[in-house]
Amino acid sequence: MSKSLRISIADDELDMRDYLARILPRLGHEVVSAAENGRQLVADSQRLSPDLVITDVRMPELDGLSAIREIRRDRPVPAIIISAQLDIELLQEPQTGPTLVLIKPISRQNLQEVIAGLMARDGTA
Amino acid sequence: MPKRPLRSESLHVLVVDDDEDTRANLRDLLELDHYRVQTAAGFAKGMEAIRASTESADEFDVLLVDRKLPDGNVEDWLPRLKQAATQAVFIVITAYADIEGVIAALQEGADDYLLKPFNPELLRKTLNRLIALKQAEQKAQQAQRLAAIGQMMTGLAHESRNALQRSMACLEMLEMEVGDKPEALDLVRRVRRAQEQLHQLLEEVRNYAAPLHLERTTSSLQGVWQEAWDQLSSHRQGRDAALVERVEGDSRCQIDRFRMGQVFRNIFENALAACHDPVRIEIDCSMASGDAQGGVRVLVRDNGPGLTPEQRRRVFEPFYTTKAKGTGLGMAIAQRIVETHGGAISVEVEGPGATFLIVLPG
Repeated sequence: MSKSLRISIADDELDMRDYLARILPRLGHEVVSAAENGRQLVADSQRLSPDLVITDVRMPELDGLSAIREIRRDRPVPAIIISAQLDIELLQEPQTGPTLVLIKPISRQNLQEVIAGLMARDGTA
Repeated sequence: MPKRPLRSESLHVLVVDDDEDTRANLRDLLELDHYRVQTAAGFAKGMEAIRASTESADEFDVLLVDRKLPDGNVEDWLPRLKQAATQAVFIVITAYADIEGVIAALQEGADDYLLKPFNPELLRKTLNRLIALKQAEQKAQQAQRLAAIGQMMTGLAHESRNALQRSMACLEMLEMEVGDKPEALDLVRRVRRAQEQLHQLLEEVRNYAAPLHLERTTSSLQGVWQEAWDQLSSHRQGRDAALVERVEGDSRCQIDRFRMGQVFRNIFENALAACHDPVRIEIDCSMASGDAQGGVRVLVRDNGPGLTPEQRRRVFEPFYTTKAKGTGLGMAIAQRIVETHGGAISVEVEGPGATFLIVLPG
């Protein structure tokens, strides 16, 4: 078991926020905030300084990639991007912090593996 | 539905002529060139033959029709005939003196005319030229339609995937709520299986609709099909299935390994589904004869029941399937991949099993 992380999540779909909020605690982590768009995610992250951000790409107000860029102006927080295949091109741009991409549809097992992989890379596991 | 492609082998010809000698003569000439020939003595009989061919999904590729018959003139019947045999090349047979009749027929949409008595060489050339033209036309139409379908499918697959993702997430949550009720858990498993099938379907549709970009390297085709066979080990588990390979010369060519692997996987998967044990899939690989650039020719033959004429004709049609499971996209994708490589894939008539021929440029 990797160490327990404080995680901020963002997805415009209630079902997905609900899912992440229920699954992540079972993987031993704490969801400290759940945002409906990128703007909220930026605010949450600045306020709560999570260990990890998990976000959808396409969201109203501010998309997930722009949100991560904004958050990382303060610090290179690790991020997991949950993406649809169509967004692959958007993901080509270089990232300024530890980043992994999960292609939809995701499952609990995907999440577990990716979180472990990312945090091992970040050296905080 | 996509129009079926004209094939070079065994094209279907209808000869409509009231003169018995002309019918026999044309039949001999055409059968020598491996056309499948049917004849009719009048327009009404010809229409019957066309309807029957449509019903049995074995449409005519060529109509050779006399200009003047006891039951009418070709220009009167032509619109009806063309409407019934939409895929066919239409050639009017006429006597030298009948130039007005030829003009009328061409104005009604005949593709060309032939003069009696027949010059076999001219007949052959005219048919080859018109069929090539028709094939090019159909290919262009197919490409256009695919591009339009592709855009729609990509959008649909994307939106569906989002909805599927949500339903999968909710099911996972439901599973946690259900706890240890065996009947409820069984239902959860069944819903999950259906979701996985839907996911696979969306992936295949997306795969088929997405633009194909090849990453070519010089690779041994033998290595590619062996890898494809290895990847199907789970399909072969508990079965008596073997690959019998004969490679003559060099099987290397400029290919996208991953994509060509997909071609062989799809063929093998179909063979494994169709054949009873012991499954034997023979691969015959040789240098393509007469190809100065060193093309490669691969025959893949299984020992299953083979394909019916209808299956042979429709096997590359998207969404055509005879399997209980599957999208019917496997062979359509295979054809697209091979053709994008500048090659060709066809299904051979020789039996008893299913035989596919792949020709790739060197």
